[in-house]
Amino acid sequence: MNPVLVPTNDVNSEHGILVMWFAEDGAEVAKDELLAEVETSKAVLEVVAPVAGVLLHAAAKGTEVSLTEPIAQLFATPAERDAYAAARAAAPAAAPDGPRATAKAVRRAVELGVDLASLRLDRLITVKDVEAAVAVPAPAADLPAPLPGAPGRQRILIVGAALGATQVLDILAGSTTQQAVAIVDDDASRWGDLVHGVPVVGGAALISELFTAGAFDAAIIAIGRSPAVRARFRELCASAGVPLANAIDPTARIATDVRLGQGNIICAFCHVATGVRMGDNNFFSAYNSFDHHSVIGSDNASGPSVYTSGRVTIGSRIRFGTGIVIEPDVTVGDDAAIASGAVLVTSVPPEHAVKTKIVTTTVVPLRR
Amino acid sequence: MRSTALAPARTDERLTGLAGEPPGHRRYRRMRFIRRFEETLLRLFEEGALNGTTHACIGQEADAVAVTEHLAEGDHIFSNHRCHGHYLAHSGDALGLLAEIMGKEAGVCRGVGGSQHICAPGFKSNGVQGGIVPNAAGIALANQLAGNGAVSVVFIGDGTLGEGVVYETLNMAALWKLPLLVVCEDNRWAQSTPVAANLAGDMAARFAAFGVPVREVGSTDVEELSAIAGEEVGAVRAGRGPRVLLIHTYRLCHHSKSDDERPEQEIAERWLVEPLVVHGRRLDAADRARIDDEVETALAEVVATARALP
Amino acid sequence: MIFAKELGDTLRGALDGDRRVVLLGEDIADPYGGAFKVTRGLSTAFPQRVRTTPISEGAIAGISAGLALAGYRPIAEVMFGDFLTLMFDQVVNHITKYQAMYAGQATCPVIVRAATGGHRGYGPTHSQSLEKHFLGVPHLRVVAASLYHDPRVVFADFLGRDEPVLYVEHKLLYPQHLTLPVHGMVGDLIATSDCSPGMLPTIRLSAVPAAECAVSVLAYGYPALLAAKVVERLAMQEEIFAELVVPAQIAPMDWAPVLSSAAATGSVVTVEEGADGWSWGSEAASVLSRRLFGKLRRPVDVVASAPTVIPSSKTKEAAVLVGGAQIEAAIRRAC
Repeated sequence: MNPVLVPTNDVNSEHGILVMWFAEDGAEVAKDELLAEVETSKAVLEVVAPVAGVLLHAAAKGTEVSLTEPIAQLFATPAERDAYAAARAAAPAAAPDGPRATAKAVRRAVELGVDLASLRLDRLITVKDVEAAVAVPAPAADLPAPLPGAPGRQRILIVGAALGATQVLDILAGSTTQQAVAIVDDDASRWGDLVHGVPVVGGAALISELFTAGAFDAAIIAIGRSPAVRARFRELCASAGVPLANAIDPTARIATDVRLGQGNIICAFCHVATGVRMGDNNFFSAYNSFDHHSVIGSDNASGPSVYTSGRVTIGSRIRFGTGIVIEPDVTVGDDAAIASGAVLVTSVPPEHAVKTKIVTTTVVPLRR
Repeated sequence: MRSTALAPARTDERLTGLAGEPPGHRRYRRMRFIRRFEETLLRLFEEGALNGTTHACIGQEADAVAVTEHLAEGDHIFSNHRCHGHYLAHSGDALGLLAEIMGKEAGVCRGVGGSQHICAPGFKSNGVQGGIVPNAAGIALANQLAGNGAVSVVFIGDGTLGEGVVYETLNMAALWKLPLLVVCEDNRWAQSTPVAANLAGDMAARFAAFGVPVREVGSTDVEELSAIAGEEVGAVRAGRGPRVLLIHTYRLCHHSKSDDERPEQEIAERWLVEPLVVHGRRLDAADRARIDDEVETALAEVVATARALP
Repeated sequence: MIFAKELGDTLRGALDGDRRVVLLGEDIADPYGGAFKVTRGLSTAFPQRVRTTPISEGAIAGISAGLALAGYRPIAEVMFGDFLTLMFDQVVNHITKYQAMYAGQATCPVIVRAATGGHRGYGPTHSQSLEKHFLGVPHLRVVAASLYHDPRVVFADFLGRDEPVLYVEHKLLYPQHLTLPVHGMVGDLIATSDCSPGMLPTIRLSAVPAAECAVSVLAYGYPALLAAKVVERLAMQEEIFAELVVPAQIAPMDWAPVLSSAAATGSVVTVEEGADGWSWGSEAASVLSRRLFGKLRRPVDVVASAPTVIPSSKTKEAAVLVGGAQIEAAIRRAC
């Protein structure tokens, strides 16, 4: 097998565009036969066969190629070429992105027998994370117990002890029907803390155990930033048979003929108009307004002041920024991300981001 | 008459020309205005009323008056450290310029620029030698791209011919046929150094080497200069590329304020052929005296107004 | 697309979108298209407004100044940044002076693009990063190309404002791909963008949040790319966490993101390819010592090239210019 390289000493370019193949994939070519043209920033380079042989393309016409990697291979016989091509096709595809971890963390995980995937961390895993995972079964005695809860009220377990929890606790503060009794969070440094008087009793692993023990009636996932994390904890609760509760601020206006699922957090001054159908586990910040007959999926998260017109369709796991306006009949697909300040006049397909150009505010001194 | 953005309508017919006045009277009046303005500045310096320095153009007034006569709205002048005559001939704005040199807020550049750094519609000056030539060529290129028929004029002196960027610019202006008129006022002295010690070879040949036509004239006669300047401006405006108007003249005063070591005899001889003498002969004595009086009165008002400014 | 082409595309967009834009420079016309091919194709598309000039940097800058004074938007290319010295008078005494000395009655928004930097063996007069001599020139913005900043955004900013700019493009960036932050990441590094009002964005890159980093690394241009590789490797291999702070505009500086990073990590290393001493890093050290006095664990460490000529020999050149090894050593010292 002989590699076919782009002949260049052009120090200005590391890449080029493969403009044209002059020899078909699988063709038998003679030494010095013109095989391809590659355009770099400086020149169009002709690539000739370094030896005679049977050609196997390694790059398609019109694609960008590295000037240091072979663009093709040449084989002595068609059989050799086909065997190589088949072997390459059969080679396992690159492993899908596993958890990202430092080399030290990987070594430490092996030492401690920790499965990195089980850490479920949405960031770079370090030695500290690995060691914390081993330390999870901390002595239960050190951790506070859930509050008992007043009779006749739905006892709520809050998932997540960060600022989202304080928002949910604020909504529940005036409630005569719901009471927060405990918080769980996977950040062990928060364990034992009180958030607005409610104890952080341990990690999410405790959810099932506490529910079985009858310590709470329903959970609310108080994580505002990441729809993906919201979805993960909703699945975790579902698998443990834990119901989710809605937390609706008393200043929110929920119209007639509205159907809400479970686990939705609806902050102050929100408006859910008549005919709206809302799924589960959404976190809508203050001053959101969903006008009539809009349909909303699950696990969404929004900043303040997201306004929709009527008959808007919002999928699931969508992250909305602040101050977004959506025109009638627009559909926002699942897993989309909408930047602050967007005005959506057309639909957004799933897994697309809407960017806005509000990047700076120019402040200049006043001139006389 | 033009006005500046910061101080509109600060001109006076007694300085720039009365309506219906014969051209000969008008030219004399304008040269007299520039002469007396410069002499007034020197007096104010001695008095301590001014800050910094000034470069008087006494003896070269005819050049400014002759060239600016042929410029129109949209044309642009780039001048140098010795820019008062050019600016006054262009705008007539004695108050704006005097206030500027006095460092007053009402000055054309609010007292930031001072004597050498003037900006007004259609006019700019900078005190660094040579660099204004490509700047004027850039303005010429802008006019060429816009196709507006406007002319860009730059005033330089014999001393500026020592700067390399002048030749870089002549080359490019000629290659691109830019509508640029270079007016080179050869006043024989670069500060304290005579032209013979500064300049090798032939002055005109330096421009001609780039294929730029040179119109060379040794004169202090405003009428002769005006006729020639009109032809040169016209040729540039007609799109025939850059041209040079090379005027051999003489600076009667020192370079700036009081640094003069030149031979007294040489200066004395030139006072006999200075522009006001040459052109003044064409006016009868009564007219001259009347114009001199009007200029004197108007300038005195300008000085009084400027002194009173905050 | 490689950076050179992204930049060419940016200039094409500028010429296309704004009839006031004029490109001047040596050898920029087709078929040659500039020494680094940035302007290839542009003179064919815009023959009047893309002009090859004689070898006359002073006049290139001076004519650009005149164009700008007359309302045009000149973009001048300096083939090698070393030749910026030949237009220093125009930059210092003309282009940056006009607006202020004429009390705002004129503006002179000249954009000067210069190919800078070494590691190519071009020797003492074709390899320098002379931008430090332009830092602190009043009314001049100095902006450095980087792979983390979209040139379209940068030039939209230039063309939207009336100020002169020197844009330095390190030669080794031309063949690289832009690596703009995607979903808040650049490769394995978390990327955030900070921007004070009126400034260009500063990109911050780190493997873990800044609060968990031990040192801030301040770098621009090509050395920022070198530093990013070091920061990523040290994080992934050894859990030495540094936050890389990459401004686009290096003068005047947007200090807010730098101060924010430095306050979080308590230690700062600056990196630049220019010669050591009287430099960008010295200024950063001075500002940080005033603004964060007592809050840093150790003095600011300035990494710069040796103050001598840049040799042509590959090994000798590498010994003079800042490379990954010096950056790595400085980060280790600063932790």
